Amino acid sequence: MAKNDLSLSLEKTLADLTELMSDTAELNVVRGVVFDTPVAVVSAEGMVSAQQVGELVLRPLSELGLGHGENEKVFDLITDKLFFTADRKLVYCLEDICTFLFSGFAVILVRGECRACALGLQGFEMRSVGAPEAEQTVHCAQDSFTETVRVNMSLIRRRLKSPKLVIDMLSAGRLSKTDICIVYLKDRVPEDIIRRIKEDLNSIKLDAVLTSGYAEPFVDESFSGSVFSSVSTTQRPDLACTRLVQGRVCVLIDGTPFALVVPSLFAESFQTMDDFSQKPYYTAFMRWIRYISFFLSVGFPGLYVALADHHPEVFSLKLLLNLSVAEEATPYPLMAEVVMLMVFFEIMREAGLRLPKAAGSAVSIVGGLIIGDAAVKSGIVSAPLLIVVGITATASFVTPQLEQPAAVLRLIFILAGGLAGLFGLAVCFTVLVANVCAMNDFSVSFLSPAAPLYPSGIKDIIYMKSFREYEKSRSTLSDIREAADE
Amino acid sequence: MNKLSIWQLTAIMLCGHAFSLMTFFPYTCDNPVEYMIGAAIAVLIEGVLLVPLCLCAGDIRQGGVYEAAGRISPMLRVAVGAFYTAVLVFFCFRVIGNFTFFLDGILPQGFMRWTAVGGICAAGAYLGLMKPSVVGKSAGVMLFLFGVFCIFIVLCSVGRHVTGALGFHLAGRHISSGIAESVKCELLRGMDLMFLVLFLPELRHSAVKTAAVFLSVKLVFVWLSIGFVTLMLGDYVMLAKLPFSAMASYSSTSMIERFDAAFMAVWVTLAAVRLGAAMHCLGRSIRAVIRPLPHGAAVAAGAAVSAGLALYRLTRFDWETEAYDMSGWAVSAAAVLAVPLVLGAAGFIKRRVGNGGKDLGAKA
Repeated sequence: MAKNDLSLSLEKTLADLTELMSDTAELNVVRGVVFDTPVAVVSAEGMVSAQQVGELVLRPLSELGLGHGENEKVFDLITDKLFFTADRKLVYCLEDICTFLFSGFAVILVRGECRACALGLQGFEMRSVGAPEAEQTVHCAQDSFTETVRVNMSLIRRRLKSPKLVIDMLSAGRLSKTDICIVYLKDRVPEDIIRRIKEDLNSIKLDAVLTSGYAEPFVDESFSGSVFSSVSTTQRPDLACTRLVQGRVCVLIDGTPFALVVPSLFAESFQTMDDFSQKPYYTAFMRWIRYISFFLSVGFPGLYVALADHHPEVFSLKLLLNLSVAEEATPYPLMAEVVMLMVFFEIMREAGLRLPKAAGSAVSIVGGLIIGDAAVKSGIVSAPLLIVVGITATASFVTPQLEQPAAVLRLIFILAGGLAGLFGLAVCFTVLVANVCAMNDFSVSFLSPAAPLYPSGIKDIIYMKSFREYEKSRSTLSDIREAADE
Repeated sequence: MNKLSIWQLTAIMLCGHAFSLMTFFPYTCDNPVEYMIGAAIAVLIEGVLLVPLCLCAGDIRQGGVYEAAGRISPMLRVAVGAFYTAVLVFFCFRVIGNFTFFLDGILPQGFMRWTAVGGICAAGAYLGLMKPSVVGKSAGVMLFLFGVFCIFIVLCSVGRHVTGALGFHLAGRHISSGIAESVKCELLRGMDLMFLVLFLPELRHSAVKTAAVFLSVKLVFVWLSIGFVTLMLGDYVMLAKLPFSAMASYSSTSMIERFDAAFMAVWVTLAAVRLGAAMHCLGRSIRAVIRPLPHGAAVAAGAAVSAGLALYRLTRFDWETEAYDMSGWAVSAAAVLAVPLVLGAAGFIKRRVGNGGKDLGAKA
């Protein structure tokens, strides 16, 4: 602050500011005189609304400019008497002025004052609130987070009007100075979790924080230790609010249309917002479908390879004969075929993801034709294997939150099953279970409420608790931690 | 949160016991009822063996057996560390050896033994690197899956191959010696009980309560398991290697012809958990002897030595005599009894000497 103190001379302050901002072309300076005192309104091109600056700042100032007065009183008059905008801050150093200018503030400088008044008049282009494309639902709200953190804050606040909802702001990134917003319900999140998240985010020493992925490793303690993540992301404000009510912390990062939910549990990957809009029996049924889908997406190809290659006695005779005939006709070992197909599936998925939507469908047609027809007819892969890969691929779309770990684990299980049969699968599974059990971010087990067992929470895994049950027993993060300590 | 609950420690010990029980029964035992009686007697003996531990649990809880020994004498700490290192290497050696030997009966020919040893040791060592609570949680998950599998097998077996109550009898030529062998066998299987001594500082609840829970659950589990497998296989159960695998091979559904491969997968996970808990403790005991060694290096060293010994013995193709040798029961009993007894006695003598010194000083 001492280094960049504002000068009493308006000209010097403006010169210093221009120099600090490397003589940038986007700096707008409007000079005027109020009560015989020179005043300047500084803003950054494209960051503020020109119309609002004109109507809310320049016009009132020019109307004041007709009278006479002292320097000190001019600044006090501007800050205390004139209600330009609700969002205003006093600024004492040039570096802060820069930050405010590029956050959509207009700054009023007055000669003879070592301080400035920053007025929030954001007018930069932003995407309007749209439907959540990554997390589709049938019966729930159709709005989603945008890239603007303030809009995202309002989307949450609109749903949780409680004064206990706390929104803390901090900034990260030496160059980007990205706004990061920490949202939580005061009485539902243990103090130590809030403190640690703030410490973690404040410890970011990156030059820029451009998406949530930059901040995630800092809050996810098991980021490099496990294939799973204890931080989940959501595009849906209603889901974020559900997690807040359950005692989680949401981290909103400017420029990212997702909220990070900290800490996240494994079981939550199988829950959707539609679960709360359907009859409990149907929700329970769908949850079990999702569990089975995840199992299929991770383990089915590996299991098929293990059984067909090492334990064919498991299959009934008719099936075994069919499989045998189909596999006899193919030139490669079964494991190689599966790996080949799964890698090709990943290539297709990646191509479909990166290409424009119109071209994406062409990829699936070409891929489908090649895999579905030509590969079988040419005898490179067998038809039963194609069914296995098809089921696996379809199942992997059911739990998009677990898509990344599933893709890697699938290949590991295929290799383990192909090399050592069920023995290899069992060894890999044991290591995986130990790895997941070791995830204990913020002293909350990733496998909660299943391990350690939390009887009230386990109901939500086996079936969907009715809202009457939710009324009786809420299960927040603190409850899960207390249950684990008992 | 990072401490073990009663159920987690029980799960660790029960996983080990389940693995052992699923592997074989002693040849010398004529019938399953003899074994069930032997198991009940073994539980009583184990209860008695745990008395010294329960008496000096307070001392051991503060830092574990090695710290408790170190408070008495630094040499005693090294001695206790060396004792448990030897016991745990023997334990791992037997688990790895039994696992690899009996795996031959399930896996297809051509699956090399060193691969099995390498795989199970890698999984065990990985678990051994984790905190005790992680091992406990993993054990809980595995035990749950094992339970689900058992229920599934039961449902698929019923009506397929039931011999009824024919297997439940006490007819035999050497009933008393059969029961004695069963007791020895159960005590040897019960080597997992030493985890109660070694994990005591990590235990959230009292040692007495945990021991009581484990012993009662174990007895119920042993009786249920033997009872059911006898219902299915009759007397044959006492002759079969991997009797539960034999039972699984008789089970089938319209979609799955036989379940022995699935049984093997579950059995592997139980072995890995048992080995993981043992290797964790082995790492600690090695560190009690060689203090500056990091835990990871100690676990790796312990795993390598145990695997090497087992592999050496396995390559001589006489593991069967080792597997059915029940003389190791004394080691098992000593692992539970000896150290708490020594620590209790040494602590008592030290306190007496200390008090005596004070008295003498007061008189002077």
